[in-house]
Amino acid sequence: MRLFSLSLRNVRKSFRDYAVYFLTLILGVAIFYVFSALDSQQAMLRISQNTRDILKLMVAMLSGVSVLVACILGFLIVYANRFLIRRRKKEFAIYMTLGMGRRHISRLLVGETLVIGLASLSLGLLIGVFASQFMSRLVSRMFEADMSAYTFTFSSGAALKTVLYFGVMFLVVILFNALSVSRCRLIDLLQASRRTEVRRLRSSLFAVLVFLAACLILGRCYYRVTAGALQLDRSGSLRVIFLGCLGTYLLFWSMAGFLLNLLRAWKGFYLRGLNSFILRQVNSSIQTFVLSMTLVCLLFFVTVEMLSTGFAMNNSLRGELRTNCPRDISLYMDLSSAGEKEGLSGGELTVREALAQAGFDTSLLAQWVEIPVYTCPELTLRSSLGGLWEQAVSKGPASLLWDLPQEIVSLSDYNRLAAFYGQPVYETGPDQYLVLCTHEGTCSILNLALQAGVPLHLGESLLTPARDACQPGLLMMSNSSSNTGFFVLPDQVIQKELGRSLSRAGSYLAADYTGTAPEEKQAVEDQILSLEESRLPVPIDGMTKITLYESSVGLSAIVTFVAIYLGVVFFIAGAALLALRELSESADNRERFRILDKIGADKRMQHRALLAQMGIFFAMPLALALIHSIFGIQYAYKIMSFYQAKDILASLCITAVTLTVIYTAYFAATYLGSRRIIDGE
Amino acid sequence: MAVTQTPILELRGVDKFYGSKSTLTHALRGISFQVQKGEFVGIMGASGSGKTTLLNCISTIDKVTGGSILVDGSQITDLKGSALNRFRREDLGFIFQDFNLLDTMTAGENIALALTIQRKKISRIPEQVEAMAEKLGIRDALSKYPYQLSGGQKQRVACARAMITNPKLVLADEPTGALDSKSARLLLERLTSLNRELNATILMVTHDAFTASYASRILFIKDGSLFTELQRGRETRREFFARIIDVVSLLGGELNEVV
Repeated sequence: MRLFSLSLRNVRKSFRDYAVYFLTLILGVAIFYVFSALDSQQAMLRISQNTRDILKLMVAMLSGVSVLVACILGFLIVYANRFLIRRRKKEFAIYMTLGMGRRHISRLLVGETLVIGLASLSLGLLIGVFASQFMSRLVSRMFEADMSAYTFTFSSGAALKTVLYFGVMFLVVILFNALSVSRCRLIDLLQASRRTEVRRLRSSLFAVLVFLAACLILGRCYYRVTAGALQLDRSGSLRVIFLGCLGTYLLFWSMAGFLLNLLRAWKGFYLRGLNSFILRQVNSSIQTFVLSMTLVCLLFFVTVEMLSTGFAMNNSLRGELRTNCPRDISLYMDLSSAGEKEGLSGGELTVREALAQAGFDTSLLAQWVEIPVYTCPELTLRSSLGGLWEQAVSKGPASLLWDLPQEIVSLSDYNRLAAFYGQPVYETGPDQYLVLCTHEGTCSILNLALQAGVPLHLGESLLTPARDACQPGLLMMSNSSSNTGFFVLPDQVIQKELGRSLSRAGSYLAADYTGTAPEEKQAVEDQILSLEESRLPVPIDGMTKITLYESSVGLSAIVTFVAIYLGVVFFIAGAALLALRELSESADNRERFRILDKIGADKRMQHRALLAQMGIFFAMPLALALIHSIFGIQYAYKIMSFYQAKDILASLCITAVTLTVIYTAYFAATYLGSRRIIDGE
Repeated sequence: MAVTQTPILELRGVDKFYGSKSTLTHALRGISFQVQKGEFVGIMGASGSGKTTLLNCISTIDKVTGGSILVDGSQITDLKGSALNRFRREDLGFIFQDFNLLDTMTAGENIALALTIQRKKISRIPEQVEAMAEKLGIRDALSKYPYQLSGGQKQRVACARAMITNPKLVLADEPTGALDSKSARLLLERLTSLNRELNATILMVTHDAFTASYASRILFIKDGSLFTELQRGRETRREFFARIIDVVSLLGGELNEVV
């Protein structure tokens, strides 16, 4: 018991040394709990009423991610622990010279780990429980769940899981400590504080050259992911990622030297107060930790990228659902394939008739609009581009179906449908055509022809573009802006060409179910979805609001939560790594600040210098990560085709505040710890 | 020596106790002496005699228990806060046994730092550094880092850093302790010439008779009190050295071993 009280006293005494370690543990426990408890939350229960499967998938996914997170945190904890053990070698040596055996020291460390473990687990769980209440608010905002019946939740399962995972981590720490104590010899321990490292400083001209090279590499990467993003294929992106990492490394490798040389030439700045000392200090720590800085910078970059993309995805999906999914159901009947098979001569069959034939009561559709759609074998994507085709091939994605006949609808039909959908309606001249398209890749190609005014030959009719770019519009509801283009022609042209160059290819139906309550709508939906395919005269494709909402809310929930989870953990890992690195320098720093003290720099000057030095050290990887992100996010949005990424500001602000709090906590812990060391308390 | 002018350093009955009532150590017992401007004074004594305590009290690192210390006529024993910092920064220069150079900065920057901390006129700093380096024969070393320099060079850099601010008093604590005899000789010669040229006042603590023989006056301390005092006068350094050895043998104890 006496040994245990010594453990307790050690922990209390060196609390500030342990601050970074504690912080990491507490944050780790809290986050682990929050995400493990996610499935038991009110909001999640509410939104998942109809999405049991997706919920299950999400829980499985998150617990898989939890294992990864546990590994990251475990590594971090062992690493931080190792740092503390190293710092205390002298203390161990004193115990040993006093005749304390290795086993005793090991037991002492076990006691300390237990104290720290219990303290951080309980504190972390407490914070986690409160943070998870806050999280449900966020969840309910993100997924428009009804949170009127809010109650305080505590997930004992999640708490148990957290205790279990962290228990294992502490066990590893204990084993690791025992191992490192059993390995050490008294002579090494006593000499542990001696420095052996000789600092080699890099030649300045070389640093400048490397710096310029790094800037060039990064500049090229930035260009490739923004202006040249569409040409980027899989191997190209891998190359950009590799070059980005390399560029980041080289930049850190050379930046300190480069900046130092730059500022050294500026005597008025360099020779003021302790500026020269601060810059030298920063230079020295960056040079020592190039690899760590690079790693931390990339971790931060991944965090920012994940969080913003996660939120954007969620918002984008929600925003698009509202515009792209205005009615309860839309159906498409394809006559072209069925006609030959069943002897149905294209003819006048409507979707409603087909549904009725299969036994569906069409009076359950309260409001509806149905329009016919035509095709012309001569009108394909390739032919609509005229002579610009070759140019377009090089610009567009390879996956486009160039020779598929394009869908054609008449202007009045389309306007009826558009009015029903709440979409813009259009007008054209008697010999003009419109192209409606929302898929960005296809738009950019079709726009080539529209801008050039490429005319459209259709049997005996010749049409010119009514607008010089694709217009928004849709025939079928979908979960994203995925309309790959269709043509709208004047009614007279359709009448003239029907039966000649044009033939009826199918029919689109948009409808609302009867009833207003969700249960009533669900009942109608169940009826339609349960129709037997064999009883339908022709195949019918459909998309319903309920399934779209469920799948995309589920999908975006998974993506967003995994992104937040990993993002925050990566961020903590980066901040902790940086803090530990800087603290491990403190022994050297102590020596240097002692010299400053002797040559007459007062404590205030010293503290300011330390603050500046650490501020720069902490700001650098974050700043570079943010610059990376500016370009990275644009790329992510581009390849994911987000259109409505504007209202993510609120979510991003919350995240930014959270991350700033975490970062500031690490910064403060490091600064205070370092200050304590240099002041020799 | 003009006795009429104010001494640059004056100690009046300085006492220093360590520890509590039961375990009292009397480190300094009523020490009084004066140092005039431009003097090069050595302080000798066995380890434990109180010479380091004395130096610490003068440099305000340690507080005296009784008596007073005056630098250029003003009391420094009750200086506090920023006044104390300013005094250490502007009126004192330090030379240490282990050089105390910053390993991350070049020799030139190390020297300049003493001036920049005092926020001296920036445009003049580079030329001041070069001039001082010239006097100490380390011009070539200015752009090198401490790990690239020999011990003797390092100590001369430290010396330049202590002198460049033109302090009222330079305190040297065993400056040759970590040097070989050749480097020590070189350093001491530079130190004496700076003492003459710049009229700098130097107070040097040492237990080495050879090092001490470069001073113009030597104070011997034994068990916390002033034991005796030697003036070099018009003697050569060798003659002075011989007299120092005599006193050292008289003092006995550890000092004998080092001679």
